[in-house]
Amino acid sequence: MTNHLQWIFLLEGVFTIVFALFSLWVLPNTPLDVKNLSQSEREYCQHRLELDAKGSESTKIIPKDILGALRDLSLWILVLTLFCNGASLFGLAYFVPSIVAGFGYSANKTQLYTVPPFAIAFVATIISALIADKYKARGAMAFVATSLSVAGFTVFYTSKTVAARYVSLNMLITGVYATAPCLITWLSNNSAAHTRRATAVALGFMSTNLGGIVSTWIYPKSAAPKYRFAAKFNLALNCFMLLGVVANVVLLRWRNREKVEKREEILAGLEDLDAHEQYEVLGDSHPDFKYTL
Amino acid sequence: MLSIKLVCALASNSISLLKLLKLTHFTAITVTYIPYMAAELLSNLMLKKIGPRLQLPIMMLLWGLVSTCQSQVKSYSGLLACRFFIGLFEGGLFPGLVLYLSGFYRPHELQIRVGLFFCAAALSSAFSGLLAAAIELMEGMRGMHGWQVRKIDPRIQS
Repeated sequence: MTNHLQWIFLLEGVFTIVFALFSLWVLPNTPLDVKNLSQSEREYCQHRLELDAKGSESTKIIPKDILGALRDLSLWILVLTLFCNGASLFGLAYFVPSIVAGFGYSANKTQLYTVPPFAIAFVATIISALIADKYKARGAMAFVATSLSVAGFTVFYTSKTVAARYVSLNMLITGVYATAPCLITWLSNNSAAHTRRATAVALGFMSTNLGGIVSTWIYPKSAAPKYRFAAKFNLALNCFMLLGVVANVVLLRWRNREKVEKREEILAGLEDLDAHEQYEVLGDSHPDFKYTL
Repeated sequence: MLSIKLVCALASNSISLLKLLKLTHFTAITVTYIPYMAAELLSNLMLKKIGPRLQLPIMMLLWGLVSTCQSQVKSYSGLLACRFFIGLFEGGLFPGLVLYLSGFYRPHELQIRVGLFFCAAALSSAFSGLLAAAIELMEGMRGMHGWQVRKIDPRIQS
């Protein structure tokens, strides 16, 4: 190991330790424990969460609910979509530096040219998140962002000039980056109660990482800088994601309709329980839980 | 001179870093990704029982300690052990934070928080690359090339 790496590991380790100690001191468990809020502010936070039944969720891990989460078709659609997104997202780490290096600039200039696509992606991620939150439309936003990466990979695959490749790089990085938080939030929004949400979020991240492992095989150095196969592969993954997003919206819309029509059927046998207990049993299939589209 | 490869490896992700450390692809994946992914599920299931207030900082603390130890590792098996534990302690952080945030915000307020968090993660890896560049630059200024112990890979010297 060179001393450079030793220094980096040491400094990163020390930063992490210092920040962990700081978090240990300030991190609250729930909004009710936030130190710098007044009592009425805390109660207001708690009240807001109870509007979605979250404030009253039990803290127990219910093994039955882990399996329940695994039987959810919508979860698997999103897990597959996140796998594709993960393969594209982690792949960018190989893809981008070598593409830009292929432009033939000096080392410093090459570094500099990798910055704008990520800066654009940063801004787009924030703006798309604000819009998706405001209109409660995760599916539509994921569709728009993924369409941008589909367009980006298409331009990349067909491009003949360096300029076209650079433009396509901006498009696909923005699309791929903006999609990731949208999908993971969508998964979290539509899984309840706590155990199911914990399982769903973990599975979403696991499949993203699995996609990341796949991406380590599709960028062999011999294929640089055009990466014909990787471009086609990513294009296929992103087209598949568009299908997944549409399928999920259709499925969730149908479920929301079923909940209105078959309210009594869903609640059959649970009439004696109060609303909280019903929610604990049924989770996101409770008739009052409306899926975010 | 900056060794672009080192900077890129740190700025991108752990697999290329592990390649610099001369781990084979298979070892790199089994040793880091498997504990990482196992930790994602296990830590999320434990989060409410232990409480995020304790669990998240303690995972970070342990991972920081292992990373610090890693800087003093002398043997290949030591390095593998460090990577294994870094994966184990780091894995739970991403899903844990998303789950934690979902307990603070209403569903339609969540994506901006998750989005900011993802952006911060991307920035931090860029920071890692900057740190690498800074360390190399400082070494160049002080003319201390002599204290390089041994090179991992002659190709990274540019």
